[in-house]
Amino acid sequence: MKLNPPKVYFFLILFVVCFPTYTFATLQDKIFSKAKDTKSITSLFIQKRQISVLPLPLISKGKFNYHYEEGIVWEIQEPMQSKIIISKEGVQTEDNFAIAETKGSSKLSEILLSLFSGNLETLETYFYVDVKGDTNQWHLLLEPKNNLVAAQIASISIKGKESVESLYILESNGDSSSLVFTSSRINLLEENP
Amino acid sequence: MEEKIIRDRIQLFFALSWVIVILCCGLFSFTKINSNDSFENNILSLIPDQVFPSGDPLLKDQLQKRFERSFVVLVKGKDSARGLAIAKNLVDKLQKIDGLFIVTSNIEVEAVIKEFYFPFRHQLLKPETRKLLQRLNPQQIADRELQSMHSPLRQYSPYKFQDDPFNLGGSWIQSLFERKSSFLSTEIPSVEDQAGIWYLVVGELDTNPFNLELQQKLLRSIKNFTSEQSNESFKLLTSGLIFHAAEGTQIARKEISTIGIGSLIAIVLLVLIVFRSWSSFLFIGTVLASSTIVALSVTWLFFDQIHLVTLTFGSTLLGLAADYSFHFLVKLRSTGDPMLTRSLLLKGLLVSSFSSIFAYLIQLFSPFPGLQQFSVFVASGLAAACITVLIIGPLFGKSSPNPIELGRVFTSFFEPLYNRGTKKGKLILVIGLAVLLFGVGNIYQKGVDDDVRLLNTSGNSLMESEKKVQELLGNFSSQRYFLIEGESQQEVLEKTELLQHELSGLLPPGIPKAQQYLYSPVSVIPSLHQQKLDYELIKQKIFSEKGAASILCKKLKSDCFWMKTYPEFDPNLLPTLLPNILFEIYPSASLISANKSVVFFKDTNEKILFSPSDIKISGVTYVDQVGNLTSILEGFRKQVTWLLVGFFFFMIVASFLLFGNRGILIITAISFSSIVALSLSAGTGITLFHILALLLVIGISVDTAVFFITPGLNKDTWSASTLACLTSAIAFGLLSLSKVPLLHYFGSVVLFGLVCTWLITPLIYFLLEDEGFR
Repeated sequence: MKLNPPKVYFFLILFVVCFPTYTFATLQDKIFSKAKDTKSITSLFIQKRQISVLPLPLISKGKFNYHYEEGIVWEIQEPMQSKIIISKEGVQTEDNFAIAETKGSSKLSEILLSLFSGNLETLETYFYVDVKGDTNQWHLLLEPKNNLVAAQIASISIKGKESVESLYILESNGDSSSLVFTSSRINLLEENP
Repeated sequence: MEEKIIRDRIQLFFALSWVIVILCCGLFSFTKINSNDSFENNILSLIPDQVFPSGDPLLKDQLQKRFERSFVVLVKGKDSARGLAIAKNLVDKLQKIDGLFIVTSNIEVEAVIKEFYFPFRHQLLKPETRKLLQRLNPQQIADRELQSMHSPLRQYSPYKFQDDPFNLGGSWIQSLFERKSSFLSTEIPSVEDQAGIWYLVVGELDTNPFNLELQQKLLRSIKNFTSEQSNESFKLLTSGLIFHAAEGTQIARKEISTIGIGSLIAIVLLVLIVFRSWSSFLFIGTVLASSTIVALSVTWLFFDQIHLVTLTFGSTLLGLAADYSFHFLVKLRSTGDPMLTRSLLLKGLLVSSFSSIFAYLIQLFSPFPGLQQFSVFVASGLAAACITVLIIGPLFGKSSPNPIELGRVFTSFFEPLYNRGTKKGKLILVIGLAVLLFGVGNIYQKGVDDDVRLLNTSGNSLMESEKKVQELLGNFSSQRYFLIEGESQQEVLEKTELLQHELSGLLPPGIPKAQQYLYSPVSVIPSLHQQKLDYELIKQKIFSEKGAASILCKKLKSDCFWMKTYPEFDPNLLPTLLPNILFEIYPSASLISANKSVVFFKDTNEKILFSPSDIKISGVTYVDQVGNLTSILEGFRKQVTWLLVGFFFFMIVASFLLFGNRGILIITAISFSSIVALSLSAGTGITLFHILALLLVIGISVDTAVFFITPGLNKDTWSASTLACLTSAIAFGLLSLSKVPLLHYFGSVVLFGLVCTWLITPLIYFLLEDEGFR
């Protein structure tokens, strides 16, 4: 009866990266409403993972792609190469060792893709969502709603301007991860006539 | 004159003695009814004990505890937020019920498990990880771990990096929770399907699920909850024995009252319409009351508790017991002399009651406790009805003959009709043979049905709900398993591992490996031998000087000071030390203390992908409860069929011995009625319950035919048999409407048999009379 907490990180990363900032009547609504209009996103990312007993952070870099019909491709290019493809059919991980389908990935991919379509409800199933700032500098703070998620994740902080710029995940054991997205290119769906 | 006085006094003495017996029985029954524990609604007690492996009460106890006391309610709202709100309300409501406990969080479970396995994290490998370590070299293992550390989809890691850098402990703990479904750790745990998110409310009962008070509290609470949420659109699914027990009780009570009240109303109306006399009404009332009181008392003498299903079946007794009274009253009205009536009917009453009682008592051989009770209940009730008629009947005063009006229907309509029929004897014979051939053909075509679902006492909607919950939760099936026995706990664990290994080799390609397919206690506690092997493998591939750990440390530019002292093998991971929480997740693990173990299949719906007979490990037995029950049903059906054949031949011999040539009426009536009844009620196939009911059809046909032979077919015996058939047809007709398959089949066969007997026996009588068999 367990949601894989690191997977929660991932879909949070994916979903927040899709939201460029706007001027909102209700900031939260506008962030999620914008996601619904997103056709595709291309970004570069730098991930820094700090494990308390290690002297140096683990740094990885790569490319992130989202398309509302095809799904997500998360491609790590440095220090080694691997690719994670998330589609309606499931999650597929490709690395030097194997190409593997992640167990239960079909349901997870449904959650991820529903988040990309701007479904705040799914996120609120696990987290209390607090929004601060304005459309030029907004800040989303996510805190777990229940002990099971809280046992793994202390909080998630997302900052953005035009789009998501950074994301900081604080784990319950003191480890942390930060993600910085750069060079984001966002294509919106064409408006219906 | 003096002789008459003595005869009257003897008669009075018998009557008084019988009244005393009835009063004693009444007192006994009254005490039992008021003792609160005299009735039973445990549907499991209807299943024969042979279903469970013989001599294994511990296993039976463990399985029953696991499956009896827990229940699940799944709630889905129009969206996940509403579903959560509704589920929270339900939890609040259920938590207020005394006698049950609602499980709301698994965080404590995770904490206990995490702490328990911590010292053993370097000697436990789930099978997939073991294979991976065997296959990869240290460099590859280190690269793979580094890749995983950089992945945004990081694994579940309950221990700190320094304590479990390769997350072996995390993988092990995660494997304990691997089921078919993906559970979501929402505020209230949930599971998702295509239709949306179902919130999972899990409860445990303090007592057994057959506690009527607890059943009512739970059902009332859910009913109130449903009506309170009537403005919401939501779905609710239930699973658990308590719901089946409650529905079984509800159905049994409803059917007892439907059949009982239906039969009583029919009898009262018939008596008032046909006999128009309060003394007749009182007489039938006395017969029915004595019959019921004796039936209850005798059943309680033989069994501690009477099952509600027995009472449902047994309520047909009213219809049968009234038969003897009708024969007596009709004849009495015709002769006006009670003593003469008794002597005229004595042989017929005795033969017919003995044949019926014999037919019922054959069911004592049934392995089904419910049927055994039923046979004792009805047989004793019939005996009491017959005795009451013979002893109390003669107490009526003499009167002038006044035959009942119903007899006119026979003389003015049926008798001429049957007489006309005899003139076309050959045509009737051809039609009769054609019907028989068609009947036999139909029975042959339908074949037999030994499906265990015949024993279901739950309605379709509850069964559907149960099935859906099992599908959503991916629960394991408790119906099929391997039982492993050994001399010691470690031997049992080693045999279990060997079984998994053998099964892996037998499964066809493309099927998940045995460990993913099975629900085994070695997933919680491997044998010490396996632990040692895994410890050595981990040490060699990861924590040796040139192992993956030192390669990883170099890549991470760390001196990895926390890995300098590699722990020794810890021999204390033993079955006796497992925390209770693990027994709740893997209940079969608790059997290991008794040198036994059970391996279940994970998927409840999956067909067996191998032949269990291919597993030849000493001390390993494959148990298929469904198969056991099916073979019990099949075996008993065959056994009862032979008994039926024996009973049939016995009736042939007895009929000819008692009635000479006229015995052919009995033989023809029972043969024809049985084939027609069986053919018309065959449904999806002939079941054990068809055959058992056929015994009753034979008993009833014998009753009717015997009375037509002695005292003979005339307007009185026809009227009596018509009234008798009518009341029994109402009782069994109501039984045939039952939602419970076995009651339905039983009712249908007897109903068709009754109607056929009533219609055909007089015709056969006239045909035989025409041929000079009189």
